[in-house]
Amino acid sequence: MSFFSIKNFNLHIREKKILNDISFDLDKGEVLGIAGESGSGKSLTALSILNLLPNFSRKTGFIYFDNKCISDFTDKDMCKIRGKDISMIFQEPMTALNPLKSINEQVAEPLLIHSNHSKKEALEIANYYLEKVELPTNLLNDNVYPHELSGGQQQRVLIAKSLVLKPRIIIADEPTTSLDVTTQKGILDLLKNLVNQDGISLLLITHDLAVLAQCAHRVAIMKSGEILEIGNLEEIFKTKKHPYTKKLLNSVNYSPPKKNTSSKNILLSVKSVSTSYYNSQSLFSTKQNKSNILNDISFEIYEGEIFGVVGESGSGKSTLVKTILGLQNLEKGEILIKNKIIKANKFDDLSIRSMMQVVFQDPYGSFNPRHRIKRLIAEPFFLLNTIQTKKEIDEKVNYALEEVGLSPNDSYKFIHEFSGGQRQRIAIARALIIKPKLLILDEAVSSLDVSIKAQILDLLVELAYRYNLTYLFVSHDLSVVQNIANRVIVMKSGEIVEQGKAKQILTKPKKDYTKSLVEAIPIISRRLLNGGQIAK
Amino acid sequence: MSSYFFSRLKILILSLFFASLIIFFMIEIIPGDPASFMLGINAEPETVDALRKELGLDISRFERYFNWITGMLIGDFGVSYTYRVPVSELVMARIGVSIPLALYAIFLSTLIAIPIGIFSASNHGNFKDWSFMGFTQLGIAIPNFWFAMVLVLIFSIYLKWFSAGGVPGWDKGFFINLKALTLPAFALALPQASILARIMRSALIETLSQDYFRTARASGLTFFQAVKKHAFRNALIPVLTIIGLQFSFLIAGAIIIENVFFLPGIGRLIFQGIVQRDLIVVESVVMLLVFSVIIVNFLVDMAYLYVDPRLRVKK
Repeated sequence: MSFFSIKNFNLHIREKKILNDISFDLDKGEVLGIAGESGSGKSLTALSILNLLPNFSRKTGFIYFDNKCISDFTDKDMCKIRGKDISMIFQEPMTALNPLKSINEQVAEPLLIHSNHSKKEALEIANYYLEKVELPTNLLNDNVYPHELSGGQQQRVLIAKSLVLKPRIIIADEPTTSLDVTTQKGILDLLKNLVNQDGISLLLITHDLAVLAQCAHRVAIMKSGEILEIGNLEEIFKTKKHPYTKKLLNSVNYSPPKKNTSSKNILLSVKSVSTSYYNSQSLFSTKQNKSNILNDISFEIYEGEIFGVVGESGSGKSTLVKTILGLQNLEKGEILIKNKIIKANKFDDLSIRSMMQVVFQDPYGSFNPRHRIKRLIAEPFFLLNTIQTKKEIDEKVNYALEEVGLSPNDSYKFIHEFSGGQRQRIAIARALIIKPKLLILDEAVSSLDVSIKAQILDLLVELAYRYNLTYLFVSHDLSVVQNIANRVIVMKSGEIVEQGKAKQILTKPKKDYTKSLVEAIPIISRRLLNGGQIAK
Repeated sequence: MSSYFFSRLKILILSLFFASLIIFFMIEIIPGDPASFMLGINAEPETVDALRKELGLDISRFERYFNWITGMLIGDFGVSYTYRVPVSELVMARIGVSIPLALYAIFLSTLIAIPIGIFSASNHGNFKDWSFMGFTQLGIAIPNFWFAMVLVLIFSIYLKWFSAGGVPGWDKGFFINLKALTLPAFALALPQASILARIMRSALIETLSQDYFRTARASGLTFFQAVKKHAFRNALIPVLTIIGLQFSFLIAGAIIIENVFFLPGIGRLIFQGIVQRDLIVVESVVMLLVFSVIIVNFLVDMAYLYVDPRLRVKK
């Protein structure tokens, strides 16, 4: 018997079945990947192991660790295992650390609880592990607090915290999902090394099959609380026995038919735009800290093309979107759409505004929850000078809903009745209802599950063809941009590093920065997917 | 640290300046001339004018404002029109009641509220939480003067543990005064504690659902260890704000309780000042209260600095 196993585990929360008959083993030094889309029960499986379930949950089944049935343990007994034998790393490093405590104090905490170290010794050990997870040396002092660290560094701190007691199992729940590709690569390499060096077993939970392909020995595919199949990585990926596995794998790096209809007419031109933030120290202080967000950015978008913008977080992508939408003042330069200047924060010329619409990342936060879909979608009509009758508006709303694959009946519903993917469709319907020239997609597919992401990408390309739309496609996800965009710019700290044809730049990058980005994209090698027929 | 400190200090000084302007001119536009009020309606205009001159009311408003402000800076609050004694004397006599009373009430309120808040939050959603929150609802709903009278009825009249009112004065000893202030402080503390317990509860519930609390639990802390080491300090930030506001309220807002217990406090002084058109008393005492409110908020801001490292700017 393996030293860790789950047998026939079921979980109900408020009488709703969440996990159904979960069983798997974990061997020493093994990396078991659990993959699945949101709502599949991955995270609750992890929390079940540590018995940190939400209120009103009821469980049956067994979890064995070290020949003991830990699913029967009391909370007090579990406290002796948590953090000592089994430790956990969470998805959001930004919020997983206590903002009021210094990082070495937080890393040292498990030592103080589980062992008899003095505070001084514990801090020394903490610093040793912080060094081991390659935290920059200037952050190894006392009194360094989480807000002084980047997301990747915070995740390293959390990994150090999970390591200090030399646990036998680490559960990593989406450890890299909120991080940039380059940072993701660093964290995954670190985890892989730890498994190899110290023989720690790793339970890696992720929605990203490409991440699993990088480091898992075995994988389990989960859907709606059940494990559909489990086995060796190569076997699962090659045979694609279960149709759902096949669907997931096909959606990874999904490439919709490319659009190649761009004309030579310039739609949007951004001319040497610079902008910066000032943060003044106080009300009457004359000292101001200026930080450049965009620095001399110039590019042109032709009518009918899909134009990609890629870069890591903090590279100025979102600020660029804001300046184009006229929501942010420019310091230098100008932005023209159809030869008309976009003036920031001036709402006098509605015709300029009606030429562009935007779809944002978060499908949950971009709608007023108290309005019906009809009103939400009809919102942009105020940008048009022509007066619309109620009937016309109704017809257009219904048409727009059908266009994005929803039904006219949905127009009387509220936004909470829809799933994430459906909401993003509604956002697209809202953006397209006044037939804008330019549609800005700011990380519009980044928070969606792979299979839904593929559907939305298909929809976008189809609509672009039908109405000869122009897209500004902003994303940190290079693989998506590579597949959908005609031309692309690569941004780094407010500057354009490289620009040109998407395929060229993202397959044969010239600049080092772009190279590092491209190399960090996790990919499932063709050898894995096709059973070795085609070399990568 | 220093930039935060100085920015708060600047705000403090500016607030005091604008407050003094507003207080002075607000009271200027209240109808009723102190001199004619003091002399009655049948007074000769000449006598009124003479009294106005004596009280220093004949010079221009701006001059009076200037004299008032500069006087206060050196501790001279003027002379009361009706009592004919320096305002500072009147205030000093009463502040010895009001500030200890406010401190005592805040102490009691915090002592009651924080454990209730923590207890309710840890039992979030079940019967214990629910019944404690019912009690706090009651605490907010009960008028405190009524509660004060009930306290007097039980503890002074039936049980005869406490006197029904008045304070002996601080020269008579510390504990005897503390005992005299216990019932009024308790009456004042009840609604404050109810509000504070609710704030503590909701702030703590929020921090309990934070990711760092889960991290703490996942690294082996028991529920109460995790509350003590991680959640409590994070939940304290909104609680501090409310404590600051309550303290300011308790210094001036105790008028009714002071009346119930015959305490010569600041609240009663203002009330009498307004009734008797003793403008100099009203102005100075209100200014003093504003000063205490602003100082307390300044101290609360400084306490944030201690609690929250994100405010400590590193150079």
